[in-house]
Amino acid sequence: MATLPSGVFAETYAVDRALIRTGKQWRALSIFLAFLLVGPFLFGSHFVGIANGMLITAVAAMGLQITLGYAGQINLGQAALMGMGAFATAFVAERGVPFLLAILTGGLAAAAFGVVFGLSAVRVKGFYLALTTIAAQFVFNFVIISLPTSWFGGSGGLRIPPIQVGSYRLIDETALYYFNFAVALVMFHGAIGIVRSRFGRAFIAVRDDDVVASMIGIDVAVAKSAAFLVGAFYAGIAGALWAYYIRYISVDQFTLFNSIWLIAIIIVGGSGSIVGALIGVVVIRGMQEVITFLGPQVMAVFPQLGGGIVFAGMNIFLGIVIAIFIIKEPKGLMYRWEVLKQRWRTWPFPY
Amino acid sequence: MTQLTRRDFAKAAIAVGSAATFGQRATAADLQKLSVIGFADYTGPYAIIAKDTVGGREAVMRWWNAEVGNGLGVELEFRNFDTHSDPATAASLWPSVAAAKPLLLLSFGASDAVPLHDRLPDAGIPLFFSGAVPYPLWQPNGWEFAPRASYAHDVGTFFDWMYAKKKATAPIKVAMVSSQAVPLYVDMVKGVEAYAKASGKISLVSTIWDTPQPTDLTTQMKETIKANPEFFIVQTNVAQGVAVVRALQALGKDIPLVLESHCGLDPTAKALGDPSALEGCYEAHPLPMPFGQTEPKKFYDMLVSKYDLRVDFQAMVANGILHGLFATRAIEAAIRKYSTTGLNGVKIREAVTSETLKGFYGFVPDMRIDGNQPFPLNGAVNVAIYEDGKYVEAASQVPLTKLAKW
Repeated sequence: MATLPSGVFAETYAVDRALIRTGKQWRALSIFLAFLLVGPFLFGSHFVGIANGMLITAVAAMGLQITLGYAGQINLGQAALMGMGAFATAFVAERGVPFLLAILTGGLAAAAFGVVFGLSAVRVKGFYLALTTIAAQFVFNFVIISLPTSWFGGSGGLRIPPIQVGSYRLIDETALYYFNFAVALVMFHGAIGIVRSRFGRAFIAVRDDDVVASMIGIDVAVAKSAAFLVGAFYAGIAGALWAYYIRYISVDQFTLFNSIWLIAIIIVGGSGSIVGALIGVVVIRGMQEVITFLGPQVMAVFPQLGGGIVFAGMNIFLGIVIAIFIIKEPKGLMYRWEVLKQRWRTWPFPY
Repeated sequence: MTQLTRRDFAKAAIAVGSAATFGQRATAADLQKLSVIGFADYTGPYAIIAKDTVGGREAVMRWWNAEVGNGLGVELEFRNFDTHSDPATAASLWPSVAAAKPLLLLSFGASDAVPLHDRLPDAGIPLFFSGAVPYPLWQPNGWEFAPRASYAHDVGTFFDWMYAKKKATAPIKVAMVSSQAVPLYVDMVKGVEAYAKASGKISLVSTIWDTPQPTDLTTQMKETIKANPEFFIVQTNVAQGVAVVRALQALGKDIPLVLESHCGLDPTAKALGDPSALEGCYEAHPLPMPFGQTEPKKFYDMLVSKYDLRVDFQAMVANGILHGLFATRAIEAAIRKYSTTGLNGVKIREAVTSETLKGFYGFVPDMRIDGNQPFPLNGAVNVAIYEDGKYVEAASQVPLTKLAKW
């Protein structure tokens, strides 16, 4: 889709494969990363609070982008997979497992749980697959609440000790921000690598037409399962980060509503783009922040309005924004960004 | 005697005016500002009750500043944050809350309190819960405090009273309706199971697990009724109460319900559109009920007339007023113990766990919270019943049952 600026030619395979090709791109990326690194000092505590949530959500959204955006496998249970990762992490962390291993355990547990539901993608698709993945949400709830309290805390939830390196406990919000940022960066790099790899191309082929994909030699069953496995692994890592961030988890933190929000993030950001997932996270979380700010203001200015009306009004506002995106830009903000970039580069001769 | 001239009068008037003006300004400037932060749900699933609960606690803050804080030389600066009852939003707001270093944080419910459970000790900010204490927050030596005990205590106290009233000799058979979708709802059932086991006064013959907002429970109720329950306990929400009543009507059975403060007789009757459907049903909780010109009602009336409280007197506004009183009385206790100099959350917590908090205008008795549990053990429960189509008092100030953590 994207056209490189004129005069940029790949003369080696390494250059051709590179993600960042021009000096301007390097400079833009450096400025952006520097902005994220100094953000807590520039914008203060509120930025840190919002950014921590965004970084964790971004990891889960990248996973869903791989499953849904790249492989075309609808998944309405991403929050449950995230929950599974969070509980698995808390379970092993409570028993003294080091935090990096605990986070990895969370990812693997969610991947295992996700594959079980992903296998159904081999047999069903579309609406039926959506229903199957919704079942993951209910199974997760039931399993956590019904298992012995000593395992996952049952209805009472589970406490998780903070990340500890030597005698240093990672409880400061800014320190957690940098930790989440580092993990999100690694996961982003991994996601870009996956979607550009043989697997990523197989995912895209299966998404576009699974019959044709099988005819050109792609193992569709393996590709679909792998898409669920990778997406669930990302959700599990996000859940693990969430567990270490919140330090007290319960099943009601991972609801179907959260899964729907993740789908909205993909719709708004743009399906089939890892960066699009990140843009979706920023836009949706930004909108939620606007509502968080507006709610009390509306109540203060119009106290005669009941809370129910404000609640409904805010959710209608959010729904309208998403509907506008679907109607006006169904391919998401990332697609619009690519179009703008191409127009800018070819202006004034777009033909 | 020297005669006073016009000039003397003018001088005196200027002196008095200056003293009044500048003296008052000096007093206002001398007031020490203390930060209090409250969580609310203006745009989430419980926004419907935000106006009542937040309205109640804000009116108390205004009253306290004017009539108590002024005398103590302090003024509470109260700010609300909207959490949408979403743990992620509560967590994202936490850095801002911690940076403001409030004396205490007023919670709106478990959804905002639970995510902050482990952050409170590190920041030295106590959290004041508004409703009954949910399981995760029932910890010894914690940083969360509540003016009332658990929902299981409410049910237990009701059945202590009912057992005595009926002069029962065998356990009263009860059934519950709940949902596994919400951990707090599961906790409610576990609490009742614990009370049944500990007291021997009730026998939980069946629990119907359904969605939080069931449309029809007739089939499940048909099976449950075979076990002959004498009461149905519904502590979750109005939708479940309505579903139980509708199912009982469909099955032609007349079994009374026992309801909670947030899903009491009045809201359930309104949702049903027919109060007579609740004939013989009960509501049991520690909040004051609107019967006569009681002390809580007089305090509420004063808040309405002088402090801009604009909601009707019912359980949720009583909950908000109690929440505000609990917080302000704790601050007062801390000021008495430590003075206003260097007052912070740690001192508030120490005062709450070591002092008797007084002056609740009949909303709850004077309370003493020791470190073993986050709520007072000397509470009481009020009981209302729908009788002949009217909402009337059945019992008041029934002493709180004894119940260990399950």
